[in-house]
Amino acid sequence: MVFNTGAALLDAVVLAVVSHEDVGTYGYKITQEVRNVIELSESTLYPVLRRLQKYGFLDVYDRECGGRNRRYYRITTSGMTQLNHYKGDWKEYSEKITGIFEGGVVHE
Amino acid sequence: MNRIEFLERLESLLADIPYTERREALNYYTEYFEDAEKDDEEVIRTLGSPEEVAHNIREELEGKELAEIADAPADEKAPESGGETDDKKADGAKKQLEGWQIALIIIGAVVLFPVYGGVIVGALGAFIGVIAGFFGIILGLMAAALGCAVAAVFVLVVAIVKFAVSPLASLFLIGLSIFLAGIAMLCMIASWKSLTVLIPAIFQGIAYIWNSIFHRKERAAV
Repeated sequence: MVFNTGAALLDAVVLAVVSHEDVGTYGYKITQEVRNVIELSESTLYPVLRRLQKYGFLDVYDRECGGRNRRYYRITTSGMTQLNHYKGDWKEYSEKITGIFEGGVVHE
Repeated sequence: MNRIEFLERLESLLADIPYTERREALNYYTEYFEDAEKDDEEVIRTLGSPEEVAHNIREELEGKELAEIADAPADEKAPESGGETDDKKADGAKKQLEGWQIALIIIGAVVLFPVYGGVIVGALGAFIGVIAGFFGIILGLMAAALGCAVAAVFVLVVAIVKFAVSPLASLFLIGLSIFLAGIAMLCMIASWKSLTVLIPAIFQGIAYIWNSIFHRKERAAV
């Protein structure tokens, strides 16, 4: 892949991955799912999760799992709003790019 | 390298970041190893070196202030603030507390300035007054010493000059001169003593006041 993933797109992808699970999901699983679509070093995910948590877009809770704690991440209401905002922007952006690639004229 | 070595190295690399941040990160990576259910070596290969992991965490922490303003859309934040605060309250009370405490201390410091400001200025004035008073006393003692010494010399001169005329009066004057010289010496010793006692005392007092203010600030910050 020659295209870079910026911080905003990475935030959007992480929010989308977390939003798919109603009960939330945990760090390792999020990392693997994000890595299915974006090539990145696995250690870049933790700072993203921490940041989104600080913004209030994700919240966390601990759940007992196999005799130990596992931290779950869940999307918040404001995280959902933010994700929709990202999705809207992405749709607009990707349609324009696709339009250019396929030789069509982009109408504003 | 196994996970224990990895986590220990990471902990030492993050020694200077806030405790909560370090603990969060270490918990995350401890769980990560457990969830991966793979060989430690293999997990570390996909994660990168502890140095890389620490670098990523540090970068996010350092860029936090700027990123928060630049990244988090300001226009979005205002209308959402209601829900956001609720969400944060639900889980992030601990993290918020630090910020809240700092904000509270700053606000308190500003609002209460007229109260403690007056006290501080008053205390400073009293302190300077006491020091000036002490210096006044010392100066007085010095002047007295000088005066007595001059008088002693003068009386002695008169006694010697008048010795031939009235030896008895001269004898009395010589006695007076010795007496005055004694007083002069006493005053000089007294002023010197208070000077050597007072100067270190002033420095100690300043050091004490400085320390008490400094320690109070420290305690408030904790």
